[in-house]
Amino acid sequence: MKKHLFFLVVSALVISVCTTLALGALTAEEIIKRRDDNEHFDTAQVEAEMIIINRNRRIIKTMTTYAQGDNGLVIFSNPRDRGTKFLKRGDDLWMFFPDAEDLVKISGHMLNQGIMGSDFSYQDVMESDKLTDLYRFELIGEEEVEGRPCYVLEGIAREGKKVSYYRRKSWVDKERFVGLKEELYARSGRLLKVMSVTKVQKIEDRWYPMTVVMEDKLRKDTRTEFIVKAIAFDPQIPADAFTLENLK
Amino acid sequence: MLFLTKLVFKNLFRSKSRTIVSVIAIAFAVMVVVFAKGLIDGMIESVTADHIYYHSGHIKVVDGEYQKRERLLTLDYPVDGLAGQGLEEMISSLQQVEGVEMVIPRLKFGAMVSTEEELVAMSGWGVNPDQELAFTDLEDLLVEGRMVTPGRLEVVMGSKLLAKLDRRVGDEVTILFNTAFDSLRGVTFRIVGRLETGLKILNELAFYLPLDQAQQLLYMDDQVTELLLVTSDKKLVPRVLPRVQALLAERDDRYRAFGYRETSDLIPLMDLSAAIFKFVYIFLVLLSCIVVINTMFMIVKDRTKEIGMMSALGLESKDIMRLFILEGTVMGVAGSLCGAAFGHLLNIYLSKVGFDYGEALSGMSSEVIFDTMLYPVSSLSNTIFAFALGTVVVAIACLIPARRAARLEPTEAMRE
Repeated sequence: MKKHLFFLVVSALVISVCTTLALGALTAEEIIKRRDDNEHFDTAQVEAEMIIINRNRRIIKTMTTYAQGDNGLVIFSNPRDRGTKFLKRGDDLWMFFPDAEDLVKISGHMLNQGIMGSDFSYQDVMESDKLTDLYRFELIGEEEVEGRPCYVLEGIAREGKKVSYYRRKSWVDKERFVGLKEELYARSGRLLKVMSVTKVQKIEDRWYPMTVVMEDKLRKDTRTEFIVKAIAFDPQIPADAFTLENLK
Repeated sequence: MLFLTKLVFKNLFRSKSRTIVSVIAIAFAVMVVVFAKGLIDGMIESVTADHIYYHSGHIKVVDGEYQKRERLLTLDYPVDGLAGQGLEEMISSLQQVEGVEMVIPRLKFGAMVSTEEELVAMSGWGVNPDQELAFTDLEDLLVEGRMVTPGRLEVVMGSKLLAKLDRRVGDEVTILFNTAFDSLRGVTFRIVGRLETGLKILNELAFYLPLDQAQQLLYMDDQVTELLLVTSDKKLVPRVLPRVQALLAERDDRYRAFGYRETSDLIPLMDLSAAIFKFVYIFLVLLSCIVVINTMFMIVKDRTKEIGMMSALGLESKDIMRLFILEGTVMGVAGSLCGAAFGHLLNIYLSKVGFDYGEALSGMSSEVIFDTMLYPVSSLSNTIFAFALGTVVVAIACLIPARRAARLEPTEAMRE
């Protein structure tokens, strides 16, 4: 019995040391790939709530989002925005408003504006590529975020890739491979936004950020909480969901 | 004196060409003074009127915080009544202030239209159409269609804005804007009127819509961003403003009241220019006086023997001095009269056709309230001022050659 116990303890120690060594040897690309495996999806349906806090004011918006590849559709359901829809098709963004007779196409600098006055820009939600495709990452250290050990990585935009932020510093949970904090910088080095994840949940075998807080550092006293109420990966989405005809 | 006067006219006609050159020089200078004064006065009048019409009224009432963020067209600091009593009550209280004739509410907000090429940024002005037509010169600027009607989703825009949006009167346009609750909203309006003006803010940036529609769409019922107070005369502002400020301080200290001069960067600048230009006018006439002085020195030199003879025959020095001052003054009066008349006619013509500074000021921000069409003012007081200035300055300038003539010794003069 003692022999068995000794064998079990030694085996557990060996496995633990090997795993740690193996994980410690992860490259930046591997860490981001594992993060992408968790956070990136091809098709999903999300019920979400956006809480925009601007000084003393708190505005809540609710929405249902459908995403498939490069396409996305957001339908707002809170009373003041009910019926407003945003459709992303590739690099184009179209909007439908219940009081407007035409669809409105948004482009240019407007895409850098906050969605519905929030700290998330249209570009933030339009970037559907994997981080590994957009940035070249380097592992620059390890730190704790809210008591959780994290890899600290720095990503610089890959040549020729259209990105909203030239540089991003990411804190990736060492155990769950979810980004817990991110600082987003302009090419000039100016800090533009800080994103932190305050709630992570395991859904269908993947860790997923359920509450994200974004702070636009170019605005004063504002932050936006994006809370995922429900998410379904690979749901059945009607074929015409992302057409302009369906948007009207 | 009659003898001297006869002598003056005789002398003036003795060397016609010299007299004519002097008169032309004075006339030209006085004409330039009339024109320049008309132009400067026209500019000040236009900048002041446009600022009062389209920015501040005679007195502007806003939330103190709004004043700091006005350029952002924020909806976070509205005018919504005194201590929660509602906008209607606030308007009626302000109307009761002695000297206030009208209270005009406006709700300004940022907006945009998405075209094929670009997003066109605009500024929406929710207004009471009847009040705007009564207070401003909007009726003259409305060259096509009509003003908006309360209760309808209608807009009126400037010609350049319509061209940018590729729309015409009668077309529809979908305008995007953020509501007071930060919701992006798009609404389709019918374009019912077109404004043609040199004011960039009205021509390229702003559009009018009914106030009730703006309040409803922005979720700002019974709220506006500013109240403009109108007095019977802008000169009354220094007297009415303290009364308004006292009322606001007593009832709700969130609000601030500003006189039209306080809210303009351009008006004090223009006033300073006008003060500087007064010296320029004198300088201009003095320049023309150099010609007159030169002419008179030549006359004194030519007539040295004659002066000596007149002195020997008993004409006193003061009479000789008077003679030359009179000669100069006659030239001054003739030149100033011609210059003032030509300048006045020129201003009458230019006050109708105006100058288009559009191209020269194309880089100027649309938010600056400055009409690119400038119309000089043709006023009798300006013309009389220039005539008097020309006559007086020339008469004073003639003292120099006149003194020299008067100081000539008769014996020495006759020997010349």
